[in-house]
Amino acid sequence: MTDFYDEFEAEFKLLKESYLRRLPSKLACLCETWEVVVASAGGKEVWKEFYLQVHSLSGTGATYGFYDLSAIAQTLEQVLKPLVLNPTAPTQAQQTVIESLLQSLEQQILHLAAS
Amino acid sequence: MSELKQILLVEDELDIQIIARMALQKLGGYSVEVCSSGQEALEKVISYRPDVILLDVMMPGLDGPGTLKALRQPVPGCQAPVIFMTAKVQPSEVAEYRTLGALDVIAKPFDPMGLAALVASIWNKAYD
Repeated sequence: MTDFYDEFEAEFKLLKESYLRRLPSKLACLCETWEVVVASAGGKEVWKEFYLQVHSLSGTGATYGFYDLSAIAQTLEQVLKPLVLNPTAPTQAQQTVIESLLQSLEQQILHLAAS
Repeated sequence: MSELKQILLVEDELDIQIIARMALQKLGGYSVEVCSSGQEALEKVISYRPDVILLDVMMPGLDGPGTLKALRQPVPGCQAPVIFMTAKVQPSEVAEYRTLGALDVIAKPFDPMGLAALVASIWNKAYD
């Protein structure tokens, strides 16, 4: 059984490294979708798409053990939840909060890449 | 209820698919098929006949609860027990999943090293 666990751990480590390398492009996608949300004045489908991307980052990040990254994404998810239910154009205040959280995600990804 | 051998994993997120499949196969010794959507699962259960279905709650298109309802329709008529996998595990949410007919709920993020044992434990608790 130990062999199975060792094998699993080795493969999981490789997957985690691959995920880490893909994080910048995931964030870039997220930022692009956010720009579409702003440009579309808060269309329902694009809000939902943005929310699902954030939800995905939150879930996968925690599964790979990147808990700080996941926590920021989870905070963003909470901010987005009411906006997805009642989609409208984001206010200036909402934009500021969301963009600040996107910046926090970027900083966390840079930190992870450097460590 | 027969022995737990075949698991259908329904999950839209590729990273989670890979980790969960690897954990269930390597550490649990189960046969695992993966579907990326609820719609795909409705077709897969006709040929695969899983012993249990691990079902993500939040998916684009047909979500987890919608998939469970559709599975129980005369076609495909799948009665395999469903375990939801979700980050939404407030007591009221878990109660709602059980009302829908879920056997149990696995909280996300799950521990990859413990996933197979957790599924086995849920199965044994229900059918041993």
